[in-house]
Amino acid sequence: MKHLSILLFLVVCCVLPSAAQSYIIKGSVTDTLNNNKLSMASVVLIRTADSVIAAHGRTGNDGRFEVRVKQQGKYFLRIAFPGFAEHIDEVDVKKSTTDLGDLPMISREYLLKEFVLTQQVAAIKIKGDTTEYMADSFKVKEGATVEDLLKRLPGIQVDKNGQIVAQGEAVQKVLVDGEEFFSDDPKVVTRGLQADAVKKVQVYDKKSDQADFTGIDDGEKTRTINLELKEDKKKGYFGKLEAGAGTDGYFQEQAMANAFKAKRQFSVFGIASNTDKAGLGWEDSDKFGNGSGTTEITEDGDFINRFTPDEFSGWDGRYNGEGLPQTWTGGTHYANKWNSGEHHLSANYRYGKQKVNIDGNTDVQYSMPNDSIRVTETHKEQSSSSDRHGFDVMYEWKIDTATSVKITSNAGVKATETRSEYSTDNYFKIKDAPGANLNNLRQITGDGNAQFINTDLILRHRFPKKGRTLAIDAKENYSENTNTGTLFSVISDTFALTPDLVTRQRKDNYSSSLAFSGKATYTEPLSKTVFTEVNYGITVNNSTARNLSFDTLATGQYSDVPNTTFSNDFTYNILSNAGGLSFKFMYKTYNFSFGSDVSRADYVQTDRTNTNNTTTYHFTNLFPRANFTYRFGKQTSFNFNYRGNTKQPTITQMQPFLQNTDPLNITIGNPDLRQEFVNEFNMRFNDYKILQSRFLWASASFSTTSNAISTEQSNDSGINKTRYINVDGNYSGYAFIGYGFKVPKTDLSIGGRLNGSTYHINNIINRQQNSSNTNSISLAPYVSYTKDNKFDIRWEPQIAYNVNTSTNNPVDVTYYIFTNELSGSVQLPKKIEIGSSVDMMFRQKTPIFTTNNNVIKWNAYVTKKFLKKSQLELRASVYDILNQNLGFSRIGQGNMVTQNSYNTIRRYGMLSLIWNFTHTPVGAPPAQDGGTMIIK
Amino acid sequence: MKKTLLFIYTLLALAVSAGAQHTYKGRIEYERKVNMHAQMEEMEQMGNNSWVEKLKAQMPKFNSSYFDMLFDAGHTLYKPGRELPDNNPFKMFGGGPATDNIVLTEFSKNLVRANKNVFDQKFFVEDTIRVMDWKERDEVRTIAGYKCHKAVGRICDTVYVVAFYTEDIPVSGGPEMFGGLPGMIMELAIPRLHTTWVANKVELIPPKTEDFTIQEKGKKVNEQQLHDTIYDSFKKWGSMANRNVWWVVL
Repeated sequence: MKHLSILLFLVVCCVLPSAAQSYIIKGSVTDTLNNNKLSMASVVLIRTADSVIAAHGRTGNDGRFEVRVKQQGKYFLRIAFPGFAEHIDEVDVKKSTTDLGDLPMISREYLLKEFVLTQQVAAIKIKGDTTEYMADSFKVKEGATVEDLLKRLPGIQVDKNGQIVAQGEAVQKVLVDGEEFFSDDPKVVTRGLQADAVKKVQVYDKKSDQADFTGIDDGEKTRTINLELKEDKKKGYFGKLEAGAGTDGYFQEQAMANAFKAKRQFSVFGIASNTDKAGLGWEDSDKFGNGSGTTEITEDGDFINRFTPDEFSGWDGRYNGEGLPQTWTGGTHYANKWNSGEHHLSANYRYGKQKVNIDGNTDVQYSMPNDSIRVTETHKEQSSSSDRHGFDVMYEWKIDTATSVKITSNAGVKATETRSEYSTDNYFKIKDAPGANLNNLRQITGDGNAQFINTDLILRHRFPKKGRTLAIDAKENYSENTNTGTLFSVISDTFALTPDLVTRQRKDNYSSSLAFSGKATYTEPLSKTVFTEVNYGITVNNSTARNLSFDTLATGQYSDVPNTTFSNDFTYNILSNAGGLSFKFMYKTYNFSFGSDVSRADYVQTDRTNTNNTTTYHFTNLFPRANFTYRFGKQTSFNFNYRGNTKQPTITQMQPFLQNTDPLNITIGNPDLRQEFVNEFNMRFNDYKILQSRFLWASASFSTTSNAISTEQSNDSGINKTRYINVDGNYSGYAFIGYGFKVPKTDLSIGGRLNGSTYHINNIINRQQNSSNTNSISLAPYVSYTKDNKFDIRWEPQIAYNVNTSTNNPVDVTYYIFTNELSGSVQLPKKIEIGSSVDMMFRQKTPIFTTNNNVIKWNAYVTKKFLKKSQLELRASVYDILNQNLGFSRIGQGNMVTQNSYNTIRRYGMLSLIWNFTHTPVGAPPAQDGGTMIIK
Repeated sequence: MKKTLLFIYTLLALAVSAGAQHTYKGRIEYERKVNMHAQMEEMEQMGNNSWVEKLKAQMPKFNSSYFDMLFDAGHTLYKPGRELPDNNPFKMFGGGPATDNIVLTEFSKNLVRANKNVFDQKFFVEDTIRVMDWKERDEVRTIAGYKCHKAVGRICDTVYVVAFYTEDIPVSGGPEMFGGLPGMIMELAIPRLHTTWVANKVELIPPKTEDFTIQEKGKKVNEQQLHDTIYDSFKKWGSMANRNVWWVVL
């Protein structure tokens, strides 16, 4: 009997622990300031996967605790003691006993005195896919803009041009309280709105409207930042006024006022400047077509009017850093929701006037067979101006919970004026011996008018069965462009072997396009995890493209009869039918989808200059795709994506309009061109640790093209002829890794990125097969140190190595580019701040590009703030102190390397006065700072 | 020296104002509020009776009653507290089942015992302390001066229970038979029953050991048996059945 009970005891002893399968987590808790062990501190383990409280306990008199959980895995550990800041940590339970050692606790008073900065960690919340930053927890200088605030938020970078990258991806939209706000230029918001108006900054991937509606993730995402404003800012008005005057005629004036009330938003802004700091973005230029073009049909059955810009179409209105800009722009924004959100209206109007003067050189080096190279050196002087109005409106009516109608419409008009003069020197070099030499002088003027109006009506209905939906989409797109201009061109050869070739013509170009399309999309759940989507769409497009050239008569007047060689007049009637089927499998941690769309496009082309000759083209296009996403955790995911698509040749490639605007470069059509097929593979891995501010993101992409549309170049007596041909074996790829973290217990952030890319292009040059490779690799580490309200410094060097090889040129073109960015600022007493930045760029010379292109750009400023809340700021700044700035770019691709240099903004000094105003009516409640403080 | 003293004073002042202490024993008074109108409307939706509108007009929107919770390190006792002088409409209409429960929890024995009156039937429930999965939610609220965290749990598979608990009272108790959290539940809400329990004061009067007693009267059952018995007798009640079952098993 005794034996039996001993046996039983043994069995119980042995069985109990294994049956319970528990894992022990132990440690001890100390008050770091007084070095006391804390007893009765609460210890809570929360399972990361589902936030279930898996275990809890209390520390003993010796400050030690021991809790047990039933499963391995990741847990949040929270330790609390009255009067102390909560200690939050992540614990990965793998072994049967996890000893966390001694865990420090910091009294709240001490913390508030000494570690204001540590709140940063705290002020971030993750809700599902949304990362939310409590704006007030991140110290910015008084009067700072939203852009300054964004720069402070862990995981968000803002570059010199105001481009925002959040957690590794470029931010495409900035919303204010969920509303699109001058959406064509996010910088209006980030540079115009004050940081202290913002309560929360939310970063998330906005799903497509269709995915939002059906609940089936279509993988289409737009990285979006939403700025939630403080309640008190929605009761009065607030804004900013800036006036700046500089040396050499530089100026920068900016004003913005906002009056928000509950759901109603009303804002106005105006900018006038000739620096590159403000008002230069206008993203809709693709809505205005330019030049002669053709229409492409995308996999959604949408039309893209692809225009090949020519010098007559004028300037597209986008300032890309070339030349000296002048800008006057302004706009208003209105949005409102009423009947508890049942009706939603938003509208934006914007006006812009811009002028740009460019004085630049473009040097192109082509590798040719037999060790020869061709070099063209072009000097360009151009002045252009544009004047435009844009308007967009959106109205959404939620008829009931299942049905909604949404109408969006945008319209615009634009007038442009361009005057250019080019002088080109074109020569061959065989080894070091100079060869034939051709000169070309061209003077081109162009005046253009363009207008467009697009409307989109979407009706959506959700059936009672979850996942069953129907969406009907009807669209109208209309655009019209008129351009008139003149061309004067002289081609001469330096040896005077042939007489000069002179062209003097008037150009009269017109294009218009009117398209209607309808599309129905139906989704049906096959089970709780499997969904299918079927769609069908039809599009009709009628477009006209007319390019007329008129020669000069002996009288000096332009002829009334077009020159038939350089004139054409086509109409296109395009009918496209597209259908698609896809399947989606959605599980908790992963989902995948596959499917394909097929479209059939019929082109009827009528040549109106040639007795209405009609030609018909038929294309069947295939768009297979597959996607796989695996989520390791809330902030860790892997994605694989495949896309295949056929791309039909453009009409220009098959039957080009003969253009003589650039007589040394002529394009010849190829009616036998076939479609190309592109296979594209993308992989992406993202990992972000909020508490440690550590990120790792990596991506790689590879694409191959069969039947790629490439070029055949031939060079006879100095004139370069290009003909489009199909080739095989083209591929390209790139890889990217970015990593960064904040060094614990310091204000130091360290990180870097590594990029690599490769392009392989086959083509034919002077009847010889040629393969070119363009490879580049770059490494850019960074270090930044920020002591709040005192001092900050950031250093980011980058080294890039480029290799261009070409089979018909035994000499590889290789060069290094080294850049170095260093910036910092210091707060001095009496609200004075000084700051400076140095950008250096060193480019290795090549045998062809022998000029010195090294630039050291040094900027500095000093500011002084006035008034109680520092609303008024006086700023003196100097841009490019060394007066060394150079406009420069170098691109290598295929067998050619292009180097572009142009005039750009150089040294100037500026004195500015900035006033941030806020008016909150009496009786409005003070700003609330919601949210929990989690302090590590 | 003067500075150091000032610092200590400040520290003390802050410590006191922050309630930087644990509460180990005492008495909590909960106010239980039932949204009568919402409950009525629910009945109406179920198509029960049209006199609901009339009743609503006569009835205040919320019905309050008070409960006391005595607690120390080893026990909690939850029982009806002070009565409101005026006529309690909740009682007037029969009040539903099991609305005046007494619950005694003994942590060292892992034992919970309760008196529940379901209309005319008295039950004596005896079982181990209820184990349920609570999910931590990122919300903090101050209730009766205590900092509370939010947690959400579920009973009867579908009925959500929202609790705010404070780690500053290191007793894993709460109203009715709820508990199991890292600290005392100061607020409990069951949306489906339109009912909340909110602690409105905490008195630091230590209870006596003999306070933690309960009378063993009524039909002796465990929680599962109680549920099954009640479910059987209520299932003919149609739409009211679920609500009554939930009230009984709280």
